[in-house]
Amino acid sequence: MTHVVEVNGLTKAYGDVKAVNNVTFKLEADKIYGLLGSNGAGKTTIMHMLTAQQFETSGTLRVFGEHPYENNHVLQQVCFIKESQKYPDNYNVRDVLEIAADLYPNWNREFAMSLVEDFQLPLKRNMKKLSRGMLSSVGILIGLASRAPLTIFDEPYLGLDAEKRQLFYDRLLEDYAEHPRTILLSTHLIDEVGTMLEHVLLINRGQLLLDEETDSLRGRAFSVSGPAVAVERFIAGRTVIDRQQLGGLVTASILNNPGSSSGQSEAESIGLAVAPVSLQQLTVYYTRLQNRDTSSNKGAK
Amino acid sequence: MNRTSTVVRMHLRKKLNWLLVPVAVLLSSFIINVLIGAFTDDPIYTGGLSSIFVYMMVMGIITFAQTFPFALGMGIRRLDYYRGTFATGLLTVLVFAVFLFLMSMTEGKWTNYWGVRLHFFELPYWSDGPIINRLWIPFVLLLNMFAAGILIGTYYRRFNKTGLLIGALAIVLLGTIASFVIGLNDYWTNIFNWLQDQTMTGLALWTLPITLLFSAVSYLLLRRCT
Amino acid sequence: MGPAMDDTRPIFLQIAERIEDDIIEGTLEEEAQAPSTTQIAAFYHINPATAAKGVNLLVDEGILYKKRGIGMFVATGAREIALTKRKEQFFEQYIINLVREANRLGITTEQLNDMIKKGAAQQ
Repeated sequence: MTHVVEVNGLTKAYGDVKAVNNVTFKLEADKIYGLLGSNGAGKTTIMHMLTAQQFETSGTLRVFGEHPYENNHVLQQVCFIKESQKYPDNYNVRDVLEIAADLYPNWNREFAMSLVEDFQLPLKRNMKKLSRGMLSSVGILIGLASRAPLTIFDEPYLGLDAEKRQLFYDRLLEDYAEHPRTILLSTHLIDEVGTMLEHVLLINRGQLLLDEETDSLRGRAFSVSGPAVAVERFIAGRTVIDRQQLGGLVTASILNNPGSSSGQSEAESIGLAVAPVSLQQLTVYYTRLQNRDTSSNKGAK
Repeated sequence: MNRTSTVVRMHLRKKLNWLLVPVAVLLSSFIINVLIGAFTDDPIYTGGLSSIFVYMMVMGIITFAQTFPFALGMGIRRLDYYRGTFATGLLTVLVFAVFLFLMSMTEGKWTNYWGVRLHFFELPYWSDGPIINRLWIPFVLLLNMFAAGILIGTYYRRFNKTGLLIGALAIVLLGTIASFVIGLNDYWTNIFNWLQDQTMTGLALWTLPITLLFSAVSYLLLRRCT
Repeated sequence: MGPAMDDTRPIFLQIAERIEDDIIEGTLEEEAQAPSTTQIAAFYHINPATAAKGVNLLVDEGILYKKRGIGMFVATGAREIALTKRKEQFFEQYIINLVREANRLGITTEQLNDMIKKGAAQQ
């Protein structure tokens, strides 16, 4: 089976700085992927390269089996919604929607119009005069109504209140259920979208840290706390992702070995207090861990 | 689905900018001159016509800056964008050329300089030669200006402010060196003589290879634009 | 949107548990049609693939079965299977922890038994 996206050793360098560093992953058809990572991690650069809006320095890149550069076969199957999208000053909302309707073969006019109502978009208003939230709504509308086989959302909800964000998630899930397609959603609101994501890619400092089923990450980590001696004995030989001390009390977050969930009960059996670690926290810990490693490596040099 | 024609439709959504604005600017300048002409007995020769040529270049720069990032974001190929934009440019230039031709005929042939001795569309040297010159000469010159605008637009997009600055400095530097070399060898007289020998037809023909060069270079730049 | 999911445990397990709850409580009777993957996904606001994984888990355990072209149904005997499973979990989750905490506090097994009887009487 060919994958929707196949990326191998993808690298984007600006001089000495590697915005994306040797990233390899595959996206399967009709799944919802989350591309997670802090700002400046390289998420946006990867998405730009997937649509040939930026050029890779090295590595290979296949979208629907081909390179996207100047490739209509690929480009018309991909809809990329980004926070920084520029629109011509004198275009109004209707202009933009009609051009989008022209460009995306699967565009659905009725769905688009229902979204216009849901998001209360003024069709005749100039793009330049839209609020930040409305601008985001236009992007979301295009991303949903295009029903593109690969739809990429890069932090699409800037300026949207919680209610409109919820509307976006609801419409996305509803429409996805009826018209499955591959969705790549970059976000840092993991708590909000976590349950929608089937698979998670975590990027930090241009590198891929995690590429896993979301559900297999849940329960992967847990934290134990108790007297320093007991905690130290328990965490010896385990992967510690976070450790904090308050007097004689230590709290440590550790990873279960993949496929195992027995760590929690082992800790409980020796009298340690056990607490779960959320997906959001887990990504934070992973990110911190890598940052610490890279800075200690630099220190060693 | 032809995505080049989508680009043309995208541009023509704002017909006002492409067609009406330049004509309006030109006509308002024209009307002011007619009014002035009505109060003076002397013949008036004015360069008001040049506004539409300058506008065509500005049009190229602005259109590119405004629509290219949008088109790229919407998944339009650079080639389709290029073809669609040049097709729209050609169409616009054609409409303007016909308009200028008709105005020039009205001025010189049909109304006797609007009855106020105003030479606005039909100018000495500019309108010399066979009648057909008044159609195709504006056409090729407008096209040249448009291509120059697109070239500046793509160059700026590709190399940013620093690039534009370096480019401008390079041109100034090359110009200085060239004029120095020309001065050293005393070629200036030859050049002026050559220029004086040229008719409007000759000059207009000379812009064709330049237009071609501009278009080719801007396409090459566009292919690497992000 | 339905009650929020616990983000620290696999969602598909939670989906399976909630369907089991409905079966144990009798909200979902045996041979009744179970909610579809799409309905579950929309209700709990989760990925349909994850919902399907939860449903499939119950199919594997013989709690749900598939009628081709119609949907998922609760198997005869499903309640019994779910109850057995839950009782095992009850022992793991509650009794083990209960005894452990009792030991820590120095409560003897006899005292613990008395406390359980007292608690039952109050219910």
